[in-house]
Parts: sequence; C-alpha cells; structure tokens
Amino acid sequence: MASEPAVELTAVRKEYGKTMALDGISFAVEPSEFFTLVGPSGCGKTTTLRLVGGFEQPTSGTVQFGGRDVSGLPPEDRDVGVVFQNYALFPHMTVSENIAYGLNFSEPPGDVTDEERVSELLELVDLAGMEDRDPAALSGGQKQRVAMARALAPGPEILLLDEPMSALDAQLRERLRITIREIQQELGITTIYVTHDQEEALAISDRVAVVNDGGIEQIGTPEQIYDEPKTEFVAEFIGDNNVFTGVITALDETVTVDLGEETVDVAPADTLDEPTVGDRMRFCVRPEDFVVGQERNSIRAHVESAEFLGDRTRVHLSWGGTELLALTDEPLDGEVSLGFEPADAHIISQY
Amino acid sequence: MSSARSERTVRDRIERRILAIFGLSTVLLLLGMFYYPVGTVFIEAIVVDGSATISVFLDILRDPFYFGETARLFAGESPGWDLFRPGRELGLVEFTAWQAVLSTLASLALGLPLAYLLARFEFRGRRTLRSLTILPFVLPSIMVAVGFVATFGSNGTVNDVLGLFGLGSINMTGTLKIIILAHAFYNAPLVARIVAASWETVDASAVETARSLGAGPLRAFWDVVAPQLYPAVLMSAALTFVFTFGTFPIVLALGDLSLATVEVWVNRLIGRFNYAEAAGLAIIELAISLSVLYAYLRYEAKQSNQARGVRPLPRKSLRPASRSPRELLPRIGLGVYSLIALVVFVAPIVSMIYASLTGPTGFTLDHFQFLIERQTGGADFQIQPWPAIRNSLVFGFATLLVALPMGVTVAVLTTRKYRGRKLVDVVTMAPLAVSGIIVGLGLLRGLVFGVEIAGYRIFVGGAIAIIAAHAVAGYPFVVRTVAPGLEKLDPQLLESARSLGASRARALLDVELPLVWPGVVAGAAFAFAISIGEFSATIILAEGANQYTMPIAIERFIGRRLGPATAMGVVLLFVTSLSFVVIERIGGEHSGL
Repeated sequence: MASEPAVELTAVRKEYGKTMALDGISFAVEPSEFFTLVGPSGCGKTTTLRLVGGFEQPTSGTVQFGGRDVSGLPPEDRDVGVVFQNYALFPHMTVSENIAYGLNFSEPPGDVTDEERVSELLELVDLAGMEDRDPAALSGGQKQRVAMARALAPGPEILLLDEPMSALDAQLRERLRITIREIQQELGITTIYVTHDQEEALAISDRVAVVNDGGIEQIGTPEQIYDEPKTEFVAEFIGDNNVFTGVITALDETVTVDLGEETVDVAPADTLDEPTVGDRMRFCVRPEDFVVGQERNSIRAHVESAEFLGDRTRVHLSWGGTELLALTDEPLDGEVSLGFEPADAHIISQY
Repeated sequence: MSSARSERTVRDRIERRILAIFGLSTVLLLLGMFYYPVGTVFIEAIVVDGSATISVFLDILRDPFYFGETARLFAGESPGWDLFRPGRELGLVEFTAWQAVLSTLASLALGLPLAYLLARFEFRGRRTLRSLTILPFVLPSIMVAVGFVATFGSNGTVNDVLGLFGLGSINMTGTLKIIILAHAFYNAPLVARIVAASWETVDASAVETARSLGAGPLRAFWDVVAPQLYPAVLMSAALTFVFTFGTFPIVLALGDLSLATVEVWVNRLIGRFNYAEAAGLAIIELAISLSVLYAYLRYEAKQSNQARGVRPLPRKSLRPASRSPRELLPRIGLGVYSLIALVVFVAPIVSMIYASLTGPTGFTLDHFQFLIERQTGGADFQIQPWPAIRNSLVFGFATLLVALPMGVTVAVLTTRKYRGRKLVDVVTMAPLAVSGIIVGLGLLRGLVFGVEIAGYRIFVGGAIAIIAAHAVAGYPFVVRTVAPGLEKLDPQLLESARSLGASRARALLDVELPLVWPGVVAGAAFAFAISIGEFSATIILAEGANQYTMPIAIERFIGRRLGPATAMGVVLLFVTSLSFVVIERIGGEHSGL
C-alpha cells in the first residue's frame, strides 16, 4: 500500500470577507519531503501555511495529515512545529526556557529528560552554551536557530517555516539555508517552507510550488520549475527569462516561429498539444543560453546597458520594443546578434 | 509521538474551556451587576402602578423646579425671551448643565497651558509630571472636597496667607466657585493628557513647511497645529462636561442645597423613598450625558483620519534661548500658570494634611485623638473610624478579585478580531458612561430588596451589592490598561505557543500575561483605588446597614466639623497611597519574569 501523503490540501479555498485569498488549491507533500511555496507577496503562500498550521480555517476544502482530516483542529493538537518570519521568541524566557516550552505539553521524543532534549537541540542548531541568554541578546541568525530548536523540541511530525530568513542579510541567509536543509535531512522531517526568494526555493527544496494570485501555477522539482516553466508567470518569476511570442510557420524536427523581423527554430515541447501551422505560441530563452555572434537562430538587438557581476556580465538589450537580458563572458556594445540552440528554447504555450 | 498529545485528561479539558468559562461568567456578572440594575431603574421610571407610562418623565420635564423656564417649552407654552433673560431662576437640571459648562471652561483654562507645557517643553521631571496627571482620577472625590474646604473655606489656608499680608478674607464654602475649582482639579489634568498626547503627534515637517511658505510662528500654530488639536480639545471638553454634569460627592460636600445638582437630588429623592421620580431624573441625566457623548462621537467620525507625523515637534528648553519677547513671553506665562496650578492642585492636599494637624492653638493631634475616642467610646449609631477603614479595605480587595479577571477576560475578548467585536466593546465599556448612582439605585431596588425568580425570592446583601457596584465601576480601567499591551503583542508569539501545544488559556497565562504584566498591575491599582474612593453607589447601598466606607465617614464628619474630616481624609490618603505602593511592589517582582 502506498503511504499516505504527510500533508494533503484538497480544493482549499480561503476568503476574508469578500477578498479571495486562496482559490481552490490542491497539493500533496510526501513524508520527509522538503516542499517550498514560492511566490510574490500577497500571493497566498503564507495563508496556505497558516491553514496547515491551524491558525486559520479554510472556507472550503480539506486539509489532511497522513490521510487524517485535521480541519477544525486547533494548532496545539496538530503536531506541527512553526518558525515565523520574526522568530516570535518569548522575550520573557531564556533560550533554554524557550526551547523547553513545548515540552510542557508533550513528552520529548526518544527516552530522554526535558533537560537532555534541550541540550540535544542546542547541539543540533550549534548553540551549546547559550542556554541562559535572553533572546534580546542574540543576533538575528542565532534567534532564527533558537526558533528552529524550539519548534523541533517536541518532535513534531511536520515543520512549517514562514520566510524564516527574510530578516537576515544575504550571506547569512545562504549559510543558514544550508543548515536548515542539513537539519531537515538529518531528522527526515516533512517540511513546508514559504519564501518569496526564488533562488532560495530552488536551492533548498525537493519540490517547489509556485503560487500566484491565490492559485498554484506549477509544482515540480527545482529543475523542472527552472527548465520547463509551464506558465509565463513561472518563466518570469523563477530566474531571469526572455519571453518571445510568434506565429508557427513550419513544422519539422523543430518548430519554426516567425517573430516578425526574425524567424527562429525551437525544439517541440512533448507536454503540450500537437502544434499546428498558423498557431500563435510563446517560448522563453534563459539569459545564459544566448550565444553572442551565433548565426543560427539569431536575433539582432541593441545593447542598452551592462552590469559587471565579476564572473559574468549582465547585458540589458532592446529588441524592437522588447527588453532582453543576456549573460555574457565579456561586455558588449552597440548592435549585436544573439543566437540560441533550439533545445534551449522552452515552449510555454501555444494558442 | 502524537499519542502523548491525544491522551487528554479532565484537567486538560477544563483548561481548554477556561476562557469560555471566564467569558461566560463575565457576561453573567455584567448582566447581574450592571444591565439588570440599570434596567430596574428604567422600569422603575416607566412602570407606575403596573402600567407603562412616560408621565414620570413628562412631569419632570414640565416642572419649573427642574427645568425653569425651559419647562414651559416642554409644557407646550412659549417662554419667549424669558428663556434668555439674564439672571433668571434656573431649574435644577438647567443649573446642573450650567455649572458643568462653567466647570468645562475652567478645566480647559487650567488644562490647556499644562498640555502646552507637557507637549512642547523638555525639563527635569516632565515624565513624572505627566504620570502625576493620572492621579486625580484615583483620588477619592470626597477627600478632595475636604481639601478644598481646608484651602478655600473661611478658616482655610488661603485666608491664613491673605491674613498674613493683611488682605482681608474670602469664604468660598458653599459657593459655585469652589465647586467649579474642585471640578477643574479633577478634569484639567484629563484635558492636559488628551491634548498633550494629540499635540505630540503633530508632524514637525508640516509646521516647517508652513514656515518655509512664509507663515510666522503664531500663524503656523493657528493654521497647522491648532486644527490638529481641535478634536482632542473637543473630546476632553465633552468628557469633562459629562463628568461634571454627573457630579455628586463634590457638590454634596462643598455646596448647600441651593447648589444641588441632579445626582444630589436623586440621592435626596431616594432618601425620601420617592424611587420613581429618582429613577426618572437619573434616566434623564443619563440621556443628556449620552447625547453629548454621541454628538461628540458623530463629530469624531466625520474627521478624516489625518496622517500622523512620524517626526514630532522638538521640545524646547524651559530656559529661554534669548531675551526676545518671543522667547520670554510663553515662559513667563507658564510661570504664572504654575503658581495658579500650585494653588489649585497641590494646596488642597497639603492644606488637608495641615488642617488635620492644627487647631486654634497651633499644632495638635486633637483631630486624630477624636477619631480614636470615637472608636473606643462612641455610640453605636455614630460613625466609627475603624469599621470604615476595614470595610473600605475588604471591599477594595473583593473588588480586585472580581474586577481583575473580568477586566483581563474582556481585554482578551476585545483585542481579537472578529465580527461583532465593536458591539462587545460598547457593551462592556458602557459602565464607564453610567453613573454609580444609577447602578446603586438599581441594585438597591432590585437584588437588595429582593427579586422573585421562578417562585424563589433572591436577596443579595448590601455588602455584595457594594462590591458588585465597585467592580462594575473599576473593571473598565483594567480593560483600558491591559488591552493596549495585548494589542501591541506580536500575534505570532501566541501562535508559536499554540503550535508548541499550549491551549489558548495556557498561552495567555504563559506568554501574554507575563508580557503585559505592568498593565495588569496598573489596572489592579486603578480598580482598588476606584473601590476605595467610590461614593455614589456606596452611599445608596450602605444606608442603614453597617457597611459605610471611609468616603462615607468623611461625608458624615464634614457636615459637622472639618477637623475630624481632614484627619479621616489623611487616613484615606494614606491607605490609598499605601495600596498603590504595595500593588506596585508585587508587580515589580513579577515584571522581572
């Protein structure tokens, strides 16, 4: 028998008065999976997390943990650990009192005392020796790790992380996300992570759900999300991308598309309908997939500005009225021709 | 792992419902101790001989004794210009409104300079002065009355000082002036608090913009600052009017019957067992007060929400920067003001203490001696000091036990967001707007005299009724001190606690209350002080029974001899201050959590 998903949302809608926050979303998170909800602010990703945590109740639809309907259960009965954006450490308790708080309500996992459990967790998040500190005396990264330890102390089935690193600086964020991933894999705990940072989402997750405007645009592995965006929104939100629109003029091993000035060949997408000559279609090319001066599939564009990034140069170009982005090894200037391999073009839609 | 949590014990189940249980108890207490009594008063005024009628109200409205020339208006006649004839005889209700208007003006005159000082100047002790403006709220009014007699009466300190300079003498006892001054003592600090708070939110850049556009400092004040202060001034004026319209102990102690206000007369009518007329008059008073508040709220609602400044106006030093008139004049003005303020705010308290320790021959302990003699050798029918102190303390602590959980529960219920929260807000804060005399009268006529429910006659003792009235008067202060703290707490603290397994009640106890503890302590201090100083309801309910409190004792003494009244006033001042210190101390330990 296939195991039940650890968390499953089915047709969940959430309305606040007349405002629609979630428009019937469904997804399933497998046991021990690191699942990330990524999207712009106000898209509904945090609302989704709050529904899983039991802080909000869905207007309709069901939330199930391991096949068990948890709708209506208050947060304290859900067996979830939560880390909030601002950590929400109890300011009137020390570090160890914060971590031990959840042990008031359940036995620590394994055959250990509460004190031993607190030590284990301090060890896990690398804060041994900080037991008696006040939360106010900690740095942002330390607070974040205490919040993590506190959430994990009672041994929850599910860990929910709500933008836990958005208040930290970029370098610390990169280090901490490795720590979070390591801890998650060590414990094998089912984790739902919410972020607006697509790079973070790709780096840390087993699977990613791109959320937009109260609905899910696409669910997939980071590679699928990056390489095969299913919608224009995903294409543009995840990483930098160049979206082209044109009319199909010929069908071959490749699809020939008339862009107006230029005509290019793109590889057919096996996931979409059989293309027909005369259909309009949309595809995208990543900035790093442009090859400067390549003859095949080339378009002529004008360089507007260039940013030196160290290892690469980011070039902003204008092509007709459209802005394009390219990553090149050397700075460019004036009129250039950019080419790409048909296989590097990814068809988003045809209509 | 989850099995540990699924095993629920009985204690657990009670814990999960504890908030609901407290909420329900609060509703029941409010119903029994506030809404039922107030309803009783209504019915008393409307049901005469078993049938509903508005004749009680009509009779009052058409009686020149109550409404003077205005009564002719209500009777359908046209009083014409008589209504505006200067010096015409005012009816009781008219007079009450008139003295409230004068008191409001006096409070504004004394309060606005203080607001200016607090909002615009930086000086040593500014914060302390600001905290002190809350003090009049909790000073028992009857004690303040004693202080005013000791200051402005024929043998008062003001006359002593005037005599020193050979400047003749004044006697303000029993005059409208002393009543208005005493009202200003209470309400000017309120005006100052409200207006200063609003002044501090005026954005400096708005003033600077006006200045850069060519407006002088005075012009910039009138054009930019003043319009932002009007709502606060109006609100404090409306509140002052309502408070002084419902004045009772101050007038009872300082004026004679020719200066009687509505509540004094209601009390007199109760003393004459004329309950219907008392109830009718009390309801008319309530209607007038509520209309003023309602008119103000309508005005406030029309005001658009101004963007509040992020950068307040910088405070100036009290030391003038130069000798220019622009620098000197405001400071000289404030200097003169502080002398007047000293006489109005400080002299009464100091004079009371002074008077309690002096007699015709100078320093004496005679007045305290008198209290002790009265205690040891007084007749049974005479007011004795010790029972008054004991009763006050017992009622005070009992009030605390009821008002604190009630206030915290209501604070929790009104800081959460849900539909109908506004209604809960209004229903639970209504006791602030209804005078103690109505609650007292309602309790007396209802539960104290006995109520028949399902064939059983239910009585509530006078002491219980007094505690109920005190708790109803005191718990809104607990709400007001606890709710702002709860409102400011990060909701994710609560959610973290819940997700870690804490029930709603447990999270309140473990996380929220420790973090708002100073507010809880302040609320407790308020509730206790309100109970210790409460007069209106107590004097109605304690009559006949052996339940008089310190304020009642003072009122009995003041009519006969000032000396013992001041001595008793000092005892009351001492007990009030002591309880504040004790509660602060208890709070101090816990706030270190």
